[in-house]
This record gives sequence, structure tokens and C-alpha cells, in this order.
Amino acid sequence: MYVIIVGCGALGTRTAYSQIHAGHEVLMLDINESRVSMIQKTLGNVAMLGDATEEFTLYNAGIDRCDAFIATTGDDAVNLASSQLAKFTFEVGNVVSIVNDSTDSNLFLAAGVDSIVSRTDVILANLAGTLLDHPMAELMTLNERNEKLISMKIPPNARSVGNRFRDLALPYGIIIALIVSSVGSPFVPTEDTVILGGEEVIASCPAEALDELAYVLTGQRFSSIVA
Amino acid sequence: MKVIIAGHDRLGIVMADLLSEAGHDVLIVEEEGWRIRSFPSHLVARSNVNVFEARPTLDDTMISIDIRGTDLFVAALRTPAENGLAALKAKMSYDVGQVIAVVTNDALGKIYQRFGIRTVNPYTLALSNLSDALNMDIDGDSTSE
Repeated sequence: MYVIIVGCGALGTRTAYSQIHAGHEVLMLDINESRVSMIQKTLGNVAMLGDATEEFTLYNAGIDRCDAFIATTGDDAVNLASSQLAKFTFEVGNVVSIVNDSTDSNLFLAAGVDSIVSRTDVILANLAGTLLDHPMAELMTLNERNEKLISMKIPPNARSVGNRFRDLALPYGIIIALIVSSVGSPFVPTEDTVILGGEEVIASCPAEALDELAYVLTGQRFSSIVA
Repeated sequence: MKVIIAGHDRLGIVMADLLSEAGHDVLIVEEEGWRIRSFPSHLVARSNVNVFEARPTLDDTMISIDIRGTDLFVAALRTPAENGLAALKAKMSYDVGQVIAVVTNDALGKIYQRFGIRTVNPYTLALSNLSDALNMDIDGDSTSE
């Protein structure tokens, strides 16, 4: 797979590193010469100097054969414009963008970006997950109807433990996708799967139902802890 | 008509001048104070011209300038990408009827037009003038002699 990453900052560099290690071909773009040469010294010849909001730069980067486009800069205007060029001008199949100002999230999706990762939402979710011993983390926003992919750790004493999924009053629109257990492999649950303490539930959930889902699975409301 | 001009691009300031002279209410939103102080004094002195110091692309700013109540929003910031973000936000998040963006990049301009934004490329206009002045076809318009 050929992946173009916009931005040679910390986030872009980490993304490039993981993509290279997964065996993909990577090219990074940045308008800052010192950041580009830093990448060339550390990761090899995988970075190019150029403005990703100019179609000529993208063309020279070989975007015609690009499979995935990831915009990671700290500037939402640059992330949106470069993602839109990738999507509409070059018809890249998979366009992902970081959103720095989380209030822009829905605009990015409505304006043609396939999927977004909100920097503040991820940090907040992780903070809530680690600092406050909070069981729920938002993994990503799935679509412009603001459905979230979430991961929820079931506390050993949670009210849902010992129940089957069919017995729970799950809010409308929830899809339980995967159970990650500390023993054995992850598996796709059925309605008859019994929930055990310490398991991690991966689910798709409308943003407005997150609170209810957290309550049904753990007995704690999401908002009461984040606020 | 109520008009909001976002940014200090020369085209925006000229529009602010013409529209306010024609009697429209103009609000200019600019992030940098020193640029505001360098705006033409006759423009700022007009009673139907107001200036607001804030970053135009932020939602907080758009709400405090009551963007929903405006008839025309003009994005005249530093880069085509910034103008695109401001214009898309005005159009899609706040339902402003008429949105114009100064975009010196035709590929981006075409994308913004898909979303109902009118774009102006000053370079295209300059090239056309230059072509006429030199009496040469350099702007790709084969019909001009």
C-alpha cells in the first residue's frame, strides 16, 4: 500500500513509523525544510518538501497511485484543504484527517473527508481512561452522523457482569462488534454471549447514546466522570 | 445588506470600501491588531463599518459576530486553505446565503464551488488583463485576440 502523510510533526512521524513497519510505502510532506531533513536523517528518504494544499505538490508526490492519504498537521485549514484535494481532485480511496479544533469535526466529514481523528477528543478520552480510571475510550468517529467507535472495559463488579447481551437494555443504534478478553483471542459476540468482568467491549455507538451505553454496561454514566 | 469580511486580503478591504460606500453594513474580522490599525482611515471612520479583532475561522468568533444574521460572507484571509475553511464553515455550519472566497488555487476553488461557495481568483483576472495589455493569448482564452 502507498500512503501519503501530510505533516512531519510528532504525530505524522509516529504514523509514518508505524506504516513503514507494517510494510507500507510511505511519503511524508511538509513545508518546513528542517523537519523534512530531520525525517530524512531518521527514517530515510521518505519525506518531501512541499505545500500539500497545492495540487502540483501532491501530483509530484505520486498521489495518482496513492491508496491512503493522512493529514496530520496542527493547522485544520491545511488538513482540510489537502484532504479535499486528495478526495475530489485525485479521488484517493481512503482519506483520513486529524482535526485539531474538535468543533470542526462534523464540517470535515460533511466536506468530503472519509474519516477523522479529533486530537482533543482522543486526548480527553485517554485522559478519562487513564487518570480517572474510566472504563470508556473513544477510538474514532465513524461517520458524519457522529457515530463513535468506542472501547469499554467492564469493571469486575459492573451491573452487566453475568448477563447476556440480549438481557441488557442497550440503547438504540448500538452494534457490539468485538469482545477482547484477557484470556483467549478476541471474538465476535452473539446475543447469547455472557459478559464477564475485565473484558473489553468494542462497539459502534451514536454520540448521544454513549452515556446510556456506559450506564448499561458499567453502572456509571460517562458524563458524570468527564464533567 | 449585512456583510462580513474575514481577513485583511487587499481584495477584501477593497470590497469593504465599495460596499460600505454603497450604504451596506460592513463588519471586518481580523486577527492581528497591527493590520487593523493599518486599514485605510476613511474606511474605518465610516459609521456603517465596524472592525472586530478575533480569529475569523473559530466557531467562537463566528457566533459572537452573529454570522447567521449576515447576507454575505467574504473570506479574504492569508491562504486559500484558510479561506476554504472559513467559507465552508460559514456556508455549511451557519447557513449563510452568499459566501465568497478569495482562492488563488483553481483546484481548491473548484472543490469549494461544489459546496455552493463562489470563488474569486485574482491571478486569473490579472492574467487576463496582462494578456490584453500585451495583446497576446497567454491566459489560455483562445477567443481573445
